[in-house]
Amino acid sequence: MDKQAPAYDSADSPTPPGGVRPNRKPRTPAYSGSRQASVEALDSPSSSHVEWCKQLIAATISSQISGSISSDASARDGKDLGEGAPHCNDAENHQALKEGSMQVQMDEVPLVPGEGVKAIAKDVMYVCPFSGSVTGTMTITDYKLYFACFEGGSPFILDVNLGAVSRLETISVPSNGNDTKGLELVCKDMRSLRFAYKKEENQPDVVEVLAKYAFPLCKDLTLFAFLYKEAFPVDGWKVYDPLMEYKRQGLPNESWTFSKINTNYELCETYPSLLVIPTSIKDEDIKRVALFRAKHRIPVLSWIHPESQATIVRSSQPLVGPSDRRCKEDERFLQTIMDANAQSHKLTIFDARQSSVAFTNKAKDGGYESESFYPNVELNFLEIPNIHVMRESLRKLKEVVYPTIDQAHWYSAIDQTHWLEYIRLLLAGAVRIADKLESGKTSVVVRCSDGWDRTAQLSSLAMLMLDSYYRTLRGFQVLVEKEWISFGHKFASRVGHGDENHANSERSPLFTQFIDCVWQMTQQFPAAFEFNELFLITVLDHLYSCLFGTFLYNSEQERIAKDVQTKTVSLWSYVNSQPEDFTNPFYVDYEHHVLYPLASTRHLELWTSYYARWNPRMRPQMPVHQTLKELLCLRTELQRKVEELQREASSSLSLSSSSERTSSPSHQGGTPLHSAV
Amino acid sequence: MFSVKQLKPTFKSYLPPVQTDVKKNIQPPIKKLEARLLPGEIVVNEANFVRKCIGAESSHDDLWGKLICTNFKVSFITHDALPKERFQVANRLLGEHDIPLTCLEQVVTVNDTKGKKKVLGSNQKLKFNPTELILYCKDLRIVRFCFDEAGPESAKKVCLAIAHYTHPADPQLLFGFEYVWRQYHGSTEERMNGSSPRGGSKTPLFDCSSEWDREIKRTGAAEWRVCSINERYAISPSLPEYFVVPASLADQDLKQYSQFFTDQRIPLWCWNHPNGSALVRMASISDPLQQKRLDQRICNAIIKSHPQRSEVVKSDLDKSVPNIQDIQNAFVKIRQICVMDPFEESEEKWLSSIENSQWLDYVRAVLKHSAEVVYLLEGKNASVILQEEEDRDLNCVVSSLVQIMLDPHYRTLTGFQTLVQKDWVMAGHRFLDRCNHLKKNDKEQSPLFLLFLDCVWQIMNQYPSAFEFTETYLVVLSDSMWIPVFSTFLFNCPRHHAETITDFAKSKSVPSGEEDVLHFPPVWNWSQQFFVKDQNLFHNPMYVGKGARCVQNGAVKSFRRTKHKSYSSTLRGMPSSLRNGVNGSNGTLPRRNSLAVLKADFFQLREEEVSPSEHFFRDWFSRPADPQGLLLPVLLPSHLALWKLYFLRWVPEACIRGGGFVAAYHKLSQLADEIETLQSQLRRYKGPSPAPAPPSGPSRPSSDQSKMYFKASSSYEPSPPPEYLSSSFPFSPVGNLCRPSLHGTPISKFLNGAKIWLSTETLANETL
Repeated sequence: MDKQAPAYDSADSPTPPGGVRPNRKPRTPAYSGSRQASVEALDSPSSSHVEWCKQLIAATISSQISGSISSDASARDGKDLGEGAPHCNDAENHQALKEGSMQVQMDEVPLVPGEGVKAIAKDVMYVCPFSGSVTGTMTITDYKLYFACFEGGSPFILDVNLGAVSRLETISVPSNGNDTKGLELVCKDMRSLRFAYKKEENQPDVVEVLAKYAFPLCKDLTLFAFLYKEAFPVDGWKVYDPLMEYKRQGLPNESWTFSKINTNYELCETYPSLLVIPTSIKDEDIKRVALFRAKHRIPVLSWIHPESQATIVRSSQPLVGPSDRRCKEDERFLQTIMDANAQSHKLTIFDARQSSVAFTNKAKDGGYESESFYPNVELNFLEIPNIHVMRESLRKLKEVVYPTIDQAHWYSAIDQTHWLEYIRLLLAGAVRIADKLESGKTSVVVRCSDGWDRTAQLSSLAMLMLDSYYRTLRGFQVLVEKEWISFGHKFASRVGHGDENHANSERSPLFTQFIDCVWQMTQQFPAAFEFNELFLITVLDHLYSCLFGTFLYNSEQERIAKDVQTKTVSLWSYVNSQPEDFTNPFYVDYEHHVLYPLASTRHLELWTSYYARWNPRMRPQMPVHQTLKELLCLRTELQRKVEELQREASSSLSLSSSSERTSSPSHQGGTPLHSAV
Repeated sequence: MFSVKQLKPTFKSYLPPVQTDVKKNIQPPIKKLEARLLPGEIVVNEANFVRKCIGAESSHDDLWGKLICTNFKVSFITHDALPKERFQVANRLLGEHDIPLTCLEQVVTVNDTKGKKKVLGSNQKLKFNPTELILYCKDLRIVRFCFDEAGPESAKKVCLAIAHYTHPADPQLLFGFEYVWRQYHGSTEERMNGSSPRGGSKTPLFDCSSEWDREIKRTGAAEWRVCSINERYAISPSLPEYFVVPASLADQDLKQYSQFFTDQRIPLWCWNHPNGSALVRMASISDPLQQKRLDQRICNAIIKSHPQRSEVVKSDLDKSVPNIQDIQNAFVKIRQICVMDPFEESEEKWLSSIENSQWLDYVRAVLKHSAEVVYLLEGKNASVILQEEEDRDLNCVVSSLVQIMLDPHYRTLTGFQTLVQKDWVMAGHRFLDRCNHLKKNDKEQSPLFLLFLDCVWQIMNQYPSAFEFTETYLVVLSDSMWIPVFSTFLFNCPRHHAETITDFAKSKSVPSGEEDVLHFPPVWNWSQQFFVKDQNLFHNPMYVGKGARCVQNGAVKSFRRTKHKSYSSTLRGMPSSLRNGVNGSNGTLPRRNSLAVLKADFFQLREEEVSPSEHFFRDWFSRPADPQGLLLPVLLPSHLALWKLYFLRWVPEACIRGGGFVAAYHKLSQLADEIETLQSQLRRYKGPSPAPAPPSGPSRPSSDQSKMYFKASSSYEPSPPPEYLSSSFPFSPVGNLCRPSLHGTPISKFLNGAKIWLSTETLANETL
């Protein structure tokens, strides 16, 4: 952790040009307490992630080796500080890494607070698909697998958190006679790692230890998030307060009210306790509606347009069944939702499913609203395939990007995974929803079957397009907390935290797909989002890591029961403690701008810096944002120079009457851009 | 039959035809619609009441006006404004709706009612009255006109005129000649002052020996000399009059050697590496008996010119890179995919189609070959001879790419233009044939220059701060190929240029000795086409801090990017340690050989044979990249992208409103402008002190004239980019119809402002 500290340090106080800093400040000013305490805990997620994006390189080997050397680095770097840009501290660190590594204790494994070493195996061979095999020491803790080899020049480090492991496979080689075993870790984050090791007498088998801590829930152990003891200066659990969020949207108003009907999750156990529903509906009727909707997930408000009062309402499918059941209360409920918006005499339902599937569902007691029973309702199917199709698509994608890529057929191989096609369907659906609200001023109901997968994807994407608040670093966290976590996207089932049943058909990369869509939007509108790519990658990594409590469990009710907020740390605590790392320097607030991404494969790209990041040859282009940061530094430096000269000039004589000083806007130091450096 | 003298204005006025079903939205023009003509431009034919199609679904946004064919362009004059605020950089030679005749690829007439369609060539007959005219342009635009209210006869005539004038029988019928002739006739005073052959541009043309000398000096090629045996093109018809050869070869030898080379194209020096290695290009040796002897002589001479007497490596391009026909075929395919195929139908298989076109394969092949030449020059310290049958096509591409990778000078605006002038124009790239300006021989047509620009874009895309110019510049340069007034793109070689001028002067009875005054301007003087303000679009804000310097503590200090370098070292640090991992494993493998018998497929140990060049590349990629040093492109398919600005800028459905890279460019540009202001302020405060003057040249911003297109905003609130910006910026797809019939898609409907979605069923079909 310590190694990041310079970043804040120097970002706050640009280095004087042309000179060495006389006294370097203590390197950990930002949030000293916890940081100091964790100097040895270099491997906390922060360091690994910051490295990721700063390097933006596929790092099979992570480089977090030592933090105790950053002071050397800064001292050494002092001499060329005069060249200006102070933001390149990662470079310092890296240099430090190279040279400092000599002093590193070889067997020292960096640990996060609360982490404990469970097994150490020496002479393990890591079969790197990119550079051949490496022999070193494997350490297994309750949080990660740490493999290190210090032979032959620069160290080789591999760091995998066990939460990312989807499947463990062993291969024994009987012919060999000396108990040599092969081990493969298939990971949720698109890589597979292969090791070979010897089974030692009187030593626990590494595979057993790995299985125990990778799948704690199957061994009656707790998830690591409950053991993690890092203290962050910011409390991420405070990011989302539903009441505050709805108030921000201007609720309650005369048509919409906060309902207490689900306070104890009695109406619907997968919904949050606070729901926004039409004012005029009685609790009795709501209960009837709940019975008519799958999993009791009644239509509730997610977002309201500040001007037109058109709303995004989400729900599950109506239980119409093969006999075309009706529910008067449900029909009136939708009518009331429509009436709440005076601008339109229509209500549009976007059913995310394929129409054929919706029809099949009807035979199985589900179904869709009949336009003849729901007057003024327009039903649209968005034709998005189900979670199983998505899982299969990502599996194929993994084959394309890992470990090797087929140079000659890269593009057609991507096409064949259909991954981008589904991304396009999702974005196109969300654009239609957003446009219906914005241009059509019409309220929409978004739903699929249960209303927790595609519904969450579509409603959150549409909200991201419509409301610039959600494009800020904080706002995006609120969006995820609200549309995904509180509304019961089944993270535990879809990700399979701590569960060894990798073949479970409940698993599906729905949230990954959503984040990919967000990334596509950031690519099309490089200045419209406050957060950067590192943030998105970090969110995805901790979707699996089980380090933070944020994505654990399937519903708000479960989370309350498990005391997640008191016993675990929120991912947002980590993110918001160092927002600089996750901020997009190009950001300008597109306030009141509705963003319509172009849902065309012509502009959708495979997110290689996430999916193919393990391939060291996937070096990204020289990042543009880096250049911007350099320019920002140059400007700061010049501004300081100009001000200095102005002071000199005015104090000496004559120029005092110069009007130039106020003529340029460049004099005011702190522009909003600065915070982004 | 077809000569300039016959070009009498054939103006005919047609009364609007009597129509029974007069459409409601015809508004007969009140003011007279006049074509804007350049000097020497003549109206050939015109038709009134023509409708230019803007929207695909409805004619709601269409424009009404007059369609004019001149000896230079197809022009459309209207009083109507385009429906939406749109952004398009104005070209001073062309109006908003104008298309130069040389830019037309195909002229297609359609009769809707009869269901007939005909591609028109020169001097052809048209048996039906056209209701529509579709112009397919070489810059990938597709423009459609409807004649539903125009007189059938005048419609037919204007179509035939356009088709006819698109196929000039003789190069002298290209508009440039008339244009140049009129300028010659312009006031002598103007001639004396402004319009020197250099056209006010700093770009050397390499038509005199001093400019070659300067290039020799700049690259430190001490053992090379300018040779003038080809003065008056005495030796080779396609070489320039002056070129550079090894100092050890005497004129006499060269003359003797020349007869054995195709086209008498003896080796031609391109560039010298600081380490002394030279890049040389030559045609193949036509006499096989002489092959060995000649090769040896040439190589010896080049070795003698190397300070370390390093070896010479010959690189045969005919064997290693695609031929011009393949490249043309790939271009035709990718154009089909990008602008012709129905948008929605091509969505699903988009990436596969791009792959199948092979365009990116060829981009990669050419870049790869260039990178290997770079390895020879830089890594092996060897001189390289690029050999190609004629030395006039792929040699141009490869030699110029090699120089761009190795020499940062060629990544400046002036440097890049120097390079094109030196390695394309003067080296005798057949621009006239490859562009097919005369539409005579389609087999000769090949977009080699575009391939080169695409390759440059790929490098630029990977190293965005390494170039002084922007991708907009590259696109504008490619568009300039289709404006037939620039010497740069009109001729096959310098001699062709010279002879054409002489012939033309003769035909116009210009007194001998005055032919020099008749000249075609090179494209490099951009003021011919664009206002200074718009030329700022060529300047890359990310390049600020490279050429520019900042004043520090009274001394001008170059803003070296040390920090950036060390930043990059983190980037590259990983592969380096990885590689070390490999080395380490070599040592450890034997110790653990018991493991080597594990299932082979489990380990997939890929023991690649690493070639020396591969080793060089890996080593280079493991080190920091200096934007001002050698640059090698990453050639993985994931890193070579479709050049969207070029290929998709005219496709309305592919245009991201308010988005695209320009959003980032906007901010960078404003910031760079602010930095320039600060720098000039600093300079002012310093006063005319003895502080070293800032470097001259294009990198120096004058205080009142910034180089940035977007100026720093006066208010301190950063504002979002203006709404008219789009991914097509600075071009606009509005008014460019990409295909005759657009299928309605949700997005395109949305873009066109339609609020009504199709019914569920239709949409379902569409999205599938």
